[in-house]
Amino acid sequence: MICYKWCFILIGNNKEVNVKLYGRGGQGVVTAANVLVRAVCIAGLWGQAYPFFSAERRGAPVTASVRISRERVRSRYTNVKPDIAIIFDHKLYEILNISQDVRDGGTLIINTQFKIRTSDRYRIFYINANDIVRKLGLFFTGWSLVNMPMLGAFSKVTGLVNVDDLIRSVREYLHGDLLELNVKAIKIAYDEVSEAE
Amino acid sequence: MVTKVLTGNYAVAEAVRLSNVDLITAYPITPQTTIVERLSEFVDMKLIKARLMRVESEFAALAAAYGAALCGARAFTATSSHGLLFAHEMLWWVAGSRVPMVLAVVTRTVGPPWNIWSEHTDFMGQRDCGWLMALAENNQEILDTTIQLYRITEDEEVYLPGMLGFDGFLLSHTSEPVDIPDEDVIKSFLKPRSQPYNMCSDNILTMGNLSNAEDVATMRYDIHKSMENAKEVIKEVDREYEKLTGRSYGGLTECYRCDDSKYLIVAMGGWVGTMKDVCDELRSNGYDVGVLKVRFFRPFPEEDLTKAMSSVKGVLVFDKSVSLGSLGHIHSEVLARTYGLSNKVVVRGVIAGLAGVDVNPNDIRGIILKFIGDVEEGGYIGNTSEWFLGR
Repeated sequence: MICYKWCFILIGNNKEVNVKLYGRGGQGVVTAANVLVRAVCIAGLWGQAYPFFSAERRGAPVTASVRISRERVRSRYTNVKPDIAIIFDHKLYEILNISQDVRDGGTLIINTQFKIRTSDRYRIFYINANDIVRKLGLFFTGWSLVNMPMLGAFSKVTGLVNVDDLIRSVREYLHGDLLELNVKAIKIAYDEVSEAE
Repeated sequence: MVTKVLTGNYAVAEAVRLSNVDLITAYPITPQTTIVERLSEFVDMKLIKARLMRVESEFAALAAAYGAALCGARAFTATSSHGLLFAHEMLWWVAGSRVPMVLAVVTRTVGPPWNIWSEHTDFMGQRDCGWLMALAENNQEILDTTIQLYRITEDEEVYLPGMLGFDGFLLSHTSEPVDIPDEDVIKSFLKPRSQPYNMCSDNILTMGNLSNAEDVATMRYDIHKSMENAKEVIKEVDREYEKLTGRSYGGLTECYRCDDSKYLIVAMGGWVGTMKDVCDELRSNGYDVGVLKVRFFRPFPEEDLTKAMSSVKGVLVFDKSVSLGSLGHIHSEVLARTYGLSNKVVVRGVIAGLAGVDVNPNDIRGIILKFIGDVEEGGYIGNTSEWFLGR
């Protein structure tokens, strides 16, 4: 595991790290948030996932947030500037005005087929998760299931959860072929995620 | 014991699974729906023996559960907002008949305008029906209190129905680790179903006939007495539950750093967790602040509150509901208990978080510090309400 700064923040004095997942209805945003919470719990940390709900429908933007902390999280409020953004579809960056959402000095992990330029405000990482799941045939009712590989990329980039704990968590949520394909996708994304230059 | 990551709604479903329930009635409404969905899966997987009955409305959901409970079944249903309002009349029938059962209320704003987010007005609107009413702070408390309510409502000192409220989305759809007790532990904790009479027994009974005024008044008084009795039962059950699981919630209220506080924050529900964090921070900056979490609203914890207020300078009450034209619901209850205190206490009510308006630690800190400033200056005499409508 490569321990980037978010991992060090939890080791240090900071109380919690806030992660926000941006995707579309059908991409498994809420499931990914739950899997992430379970994974950090396996690692001995505390997690709290709170999706934002309004009139959800397939294809429309959906977000879910996760608090990760060494101690039990008691606070409950929704207006939090995330430290780390996991973006399931690069088009959402503009649609959801994500640059206004994420804290300065934060980290973005973007699913895209394009090369992304670096930024002074964030550390930016990218992964072509669509391509990974297409090659594996990881689809559900026509939707490419990029949620688990995005968590694989998150694991590598942040060091907040190691990939073995992540896979242990996934095993509690998925079964059969779907599980095995997702585990493969996580490992590929873990290896392939790159930092913007 | 096993620890799982559960939403508040799934925590209720786990509690119902453990409580050996006989009948679940189901009618969907956001944000409650995933409770009965999960219970329906449990029935399908034969994880519980309960029968799941789909009905045509929330009124019918409570009516059917009532009917089954009258005949000796341990019954459960859940609803929110407009559904709860539709079932309001049935709440009176269940309590007036002295039939124990448990209802989960996932709090949600009442329309119009249409809104799915949490406030407590739907819950507070049921305060006069004769039901025990608890509001949970986190998903663990949701699971534990649901189980406890079966034990409390079926105690012969009580014999009243109970509702557990908790914030829609803020808890109902928020996932966090929850310890699930072993089935054996809960089996020993919950005794077999007990109720004052059984409508399906050989004894011929009638319920709901026209009665003379004195009889009805006496029955009302009996409910009130049972509410008073419930206070001790709630504390006893909390202590016994702690022995089995290691978790106590203090009974009717939880006193968080309030023993030596000069300023007392009083509130119910999910945002109490945020207030505890703010309290810690203010304490480390030299402010003597404590939080009194009201866990049960009915019976109202009069004695706990009087005791907590007897040594403070100021009380700041946060309400997520309001009786329009009067005060926040907890605020008016608190004010009623300041009469007769030997110390002079300044009370301010804050109505906030209505319709799901987000209230974060900065908002809470600002409201508390302004109150402390006003009281310390000496000009503020209190007993007013402030409204926080968002940033």
